[in-house]
Amino acid sequence: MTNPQVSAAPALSRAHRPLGSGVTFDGVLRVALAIAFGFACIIVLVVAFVILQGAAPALAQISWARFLTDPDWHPMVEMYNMTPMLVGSVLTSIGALVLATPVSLAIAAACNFYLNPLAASIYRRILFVMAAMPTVIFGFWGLTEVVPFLGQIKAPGVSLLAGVLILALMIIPTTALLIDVAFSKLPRQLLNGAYALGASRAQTCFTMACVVVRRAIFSAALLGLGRALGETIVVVMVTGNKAALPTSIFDPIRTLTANVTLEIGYAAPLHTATLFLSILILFMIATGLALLVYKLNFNDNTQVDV
Amino acid sequence: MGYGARITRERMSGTDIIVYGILLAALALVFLTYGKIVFDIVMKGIGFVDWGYLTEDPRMSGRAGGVFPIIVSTLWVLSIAVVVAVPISLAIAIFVTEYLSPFSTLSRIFRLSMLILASVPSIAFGLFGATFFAQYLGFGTSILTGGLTLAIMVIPICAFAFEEVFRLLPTGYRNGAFALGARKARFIFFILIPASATDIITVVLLGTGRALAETAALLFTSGYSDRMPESIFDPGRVLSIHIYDLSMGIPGGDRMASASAILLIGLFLIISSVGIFFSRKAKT
Repeated sequence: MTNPQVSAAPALSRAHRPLGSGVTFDGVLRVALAIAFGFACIIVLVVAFVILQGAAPALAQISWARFLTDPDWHPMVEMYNMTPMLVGSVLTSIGALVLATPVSLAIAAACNFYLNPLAASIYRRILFVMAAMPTVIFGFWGLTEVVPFLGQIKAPGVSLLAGVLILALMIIPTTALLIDVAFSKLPRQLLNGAYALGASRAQTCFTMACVVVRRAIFSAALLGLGRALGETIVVVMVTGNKAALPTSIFDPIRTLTANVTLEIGYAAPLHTATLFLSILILFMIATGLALLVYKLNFNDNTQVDV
Repeated sequence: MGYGARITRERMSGTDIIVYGILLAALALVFLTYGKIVFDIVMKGIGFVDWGYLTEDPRMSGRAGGVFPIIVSTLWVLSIAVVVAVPISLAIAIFVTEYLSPFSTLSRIFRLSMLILASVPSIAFGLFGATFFAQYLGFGTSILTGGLTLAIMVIPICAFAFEEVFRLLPTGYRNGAFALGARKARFIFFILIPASATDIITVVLLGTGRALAETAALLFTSGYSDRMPESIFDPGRVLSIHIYDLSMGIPGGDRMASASAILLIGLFLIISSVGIFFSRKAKT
């Protein structure tokens, strides 16, 4: 025990040296990291609580039915019919989803089963960059190029259709990359098996691979839907922001997010609370989608049976 | 990735060729549209981007002059977001990978809360920031409020990505360090972080790109003022809001908005490509 080398060894590691009364740097670090972790777990609750608190006056003073049955959306004269905005949000995001999912599937299928690996990897990098592209760029391009073009077909140009098109362009990279990752993780045996049975590429891809990764395709679509539903700037810029139910895809509409952006600057207290309430609704929808995605991806050990 | 193509070297069948055609058409359509977005904006605005545009103050609500204060505000907001978000998300990811089992209840709670946070609409964070940081904490409509709001938005993205990076560390490093008697702290600071340094840089840049891309959350938090911010407690207008305001609120602002859009795309592409460069280096 008197070996000098052994007694010298702890000096090498500062982490071993007590900081006083048995507190080690290791212990301090552990606590600090645990605090950060705790922060991560409660922050979502804090955000939810703050928004709920903002919406509380509206929940207390206005009955639920009035948000659907009031004659119109005129918060100045206490009319709070949110139906046009709800319909606007649902139509734009579902439209974008319907347009984006097949295209994303096609891109992911091409990158994995048809393109040569170099071309596929270049295409993936482009998608990777476009997935994070500032959405205001999409909105600005939609406003200056797509809206005038649609306006020539049928005035006024700012419309549900413009919103659907630009939102679809915006979410395609995200959904395509998610489906692409699922395809690239397919077990080799499955592909070898399909080819050994004489399946063509189209058969391998669309009758085998797509079925195996169906959960991933579904959750990619859900994440895309969530992005489209929460998008604000693009829809403010290209959908015309008219708080009325659309009769055709060329009619202007207004989404819940656009409504908040446009009105919160001058809103009276109760009006502000209704705007918080509309964001609370979106928050709950987003949470629901996240729970569904979580269930599909993280709690699932049976995705691939080989 | 793509070994389907390598296995079947024989001729494609008839259906294959038709399907291939359809898929290629989709690929080309999307690719060309993205190309056209960038091309249209560059052609429209490139004539306005010069040294004066970068160094002058905006005049007539941005119809003339430059964007110097806006660039300064953008960089301030980004720096605050990154400086706050990166250490916190690093700490979260280290705790999850080094102290928790991936199958424990706490890990599940972490994943779920990060997933929800990542899918909440950004405008919700805008309202949260405007209420919590601006009113409760009294920071007002300021660069600090904007930066902190963005930090909250970026934390789930960075924490998820850091967790993935740390899980990729070869098990030998971990076993070797602990076999030599290293404690957790030593392992974390001398092995885990240095070995993942390039990937950490990639994730930081990814987070910066996300923060740069945000508009909606900043509308109510860092404000519209296009004057030069004197401190982080002043309001400041970021590039994305400048584009939004010019194209929506200012008649005839389109062309100057394209010039700002070029700057925003340029800045974004630089950040992303540096990020991609570091991630590629880490793989080889």
